[in-house]
Amino acid sequence: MNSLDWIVLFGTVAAIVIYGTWRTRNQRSMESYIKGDSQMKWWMIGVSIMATQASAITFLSTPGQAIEDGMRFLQFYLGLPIAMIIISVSIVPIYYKLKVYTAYEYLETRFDLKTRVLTAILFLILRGLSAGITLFAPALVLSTVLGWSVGITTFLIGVLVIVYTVSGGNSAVSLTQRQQLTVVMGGMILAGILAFVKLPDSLSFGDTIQVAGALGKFNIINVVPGDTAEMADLSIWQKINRVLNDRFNIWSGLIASVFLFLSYFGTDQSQVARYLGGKSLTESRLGLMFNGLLKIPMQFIILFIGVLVFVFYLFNQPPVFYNPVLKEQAWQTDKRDTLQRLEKAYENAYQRKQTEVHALVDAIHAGDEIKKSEHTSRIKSIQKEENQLRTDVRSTIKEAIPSAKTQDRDYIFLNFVLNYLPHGVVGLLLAVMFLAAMSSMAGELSALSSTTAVDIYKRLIHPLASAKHYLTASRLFTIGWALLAMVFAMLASFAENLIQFVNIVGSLFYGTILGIFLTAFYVKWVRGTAVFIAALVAEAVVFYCYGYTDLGFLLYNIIGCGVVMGISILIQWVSPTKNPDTGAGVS
Amino acid sequence: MSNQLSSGEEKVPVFKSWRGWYGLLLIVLILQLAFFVFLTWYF
Repeated sequence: MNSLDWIVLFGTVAAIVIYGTWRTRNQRSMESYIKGDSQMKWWMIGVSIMATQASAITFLSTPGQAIEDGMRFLQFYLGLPIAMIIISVSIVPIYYKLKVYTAYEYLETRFDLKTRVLTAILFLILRGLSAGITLFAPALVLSTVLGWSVGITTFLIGVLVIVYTVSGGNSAVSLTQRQQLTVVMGGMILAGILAFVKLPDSLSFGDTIQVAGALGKFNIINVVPGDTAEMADLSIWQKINRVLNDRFNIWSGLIASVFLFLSYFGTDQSQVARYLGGKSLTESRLGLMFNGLLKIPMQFIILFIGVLVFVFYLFNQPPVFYNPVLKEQAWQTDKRDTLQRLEKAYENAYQRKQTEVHALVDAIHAGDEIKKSEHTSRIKSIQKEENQLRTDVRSTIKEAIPSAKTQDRDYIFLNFVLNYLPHGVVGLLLAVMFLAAMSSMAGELSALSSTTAVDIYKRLIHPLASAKHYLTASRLFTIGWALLAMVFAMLASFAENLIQFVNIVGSLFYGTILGIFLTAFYVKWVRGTAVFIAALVAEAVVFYCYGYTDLGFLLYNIIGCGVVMGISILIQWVSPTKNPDTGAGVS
Repeated sequence: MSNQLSSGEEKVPVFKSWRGWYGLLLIVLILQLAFFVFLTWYF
């Protein structure tokens, strides 16, 4: 980092914060604060939806995921376009018809107050936890780069988001998200181009793809998890069990993730607020179509950048452990000799691998399939050796510093940025992480604040106050949630990989929330008390699955949703008060 | 479920009805899937 990087980093971040605050400074009521001026066009809605979903975790973790695990993570997003269609057909027209501020308002019209409040509280827990994680990831990155404590970087990001979100509400969130996403995607694509440019001159784009493909990075579609030959020996139940326990395969992508995205985009206020700020129902629906068309290509690009960085590291020695701060700490303990020996062995393995990689490129140029296959298999065998050495390094660091978080996947891309990209671009890429964190955190805070203000405060605590009172309350709730997220980010102990942890937290609650909404939309004779009890049972079942089973987390969405719908139908069916409900709001 | 906010008020851009957009989304999804299957199979 030199002065140019600092200027680019703080210049970019400050410009967006100041512009967003200034442009949206005139908020007069809770309505304009929560919904904005309802003038957003379809592309603005689409960009805002994508910016809210893509946090810094997406840009930190996803390239590292591609480097270690190939591109199969892309399957997770395959259900998204299907979810967009269902939401556009079923859910958005209802919200527009009822002119709701939050998604949970609808539940009182359809069921009763307790169901509305329960669902709002489930959302507040889920989103409150996620906001902490959203903030933690870039705070950790910056603390590593700057040598500051995580507390200071968490505080800085949190305060920047508070400035424009408290001042301009939903309008400021949407406005800044457009600039943020532009900088973020521009920065990421630039990093990908530079990774390719820095490869040896003899390597064309086609060669790069061939090398990555030969080494298994284009493993996008997995019908069965693991080794096909190994799967052939299993019984049908063992096969099903293996598929259910695998996180990313075509089945979880096309079926389970539809439920997660239905819940996220259809019932999570941080997304519902994005399209409710649209100029009309048509603009909102088009915004969802925009997201459905562009989300998979966007994730493909981010993963592909990871693949390019993977090929780059075939020609440039990567570190044995990617978190530089933790590495330095561990190298100063009594495990130093063991770590140095492992590092030496890793360097040796890399030298052998590099010779094989050059031979592989020669075989590709010569079109010699036999040699290509020989070198590929040797490289894969050396990679296994390297992976084992990295595992040994991680466990040795853990022995040296028991409190250390030794999963370093989230540092892989950053390591490339800091050590190999030119000055100015380093600052820009750090700004990318900052802005991505700010855009999704702002969306989350805005939703947390509006749900607290509308579904809890205005409905239960202070129903008859002035517009100015509710505006002040909404602003205070935004500050309150931001402070909570900051405290959570500073205290939390996280799962091994951040992006997956965020998805797991989501899946613990989303299934139940989705079940409540789907029952509301499609099972018109089920009433409030039945769905309320079913939601409590579903949450208990999902937590049981999380604690005591090995099921893939995407399945929690189906289980939670299924239990709510099944139990509520059963309760209503046996209930003496069974009576067709009016199904208010459903056309 | 009707695609109309209220009868005749919503004019769908580009296509005659929202079915056109939903069809487009599904076709693009299928094409993407085919591309990903090709990449997986080819390498």
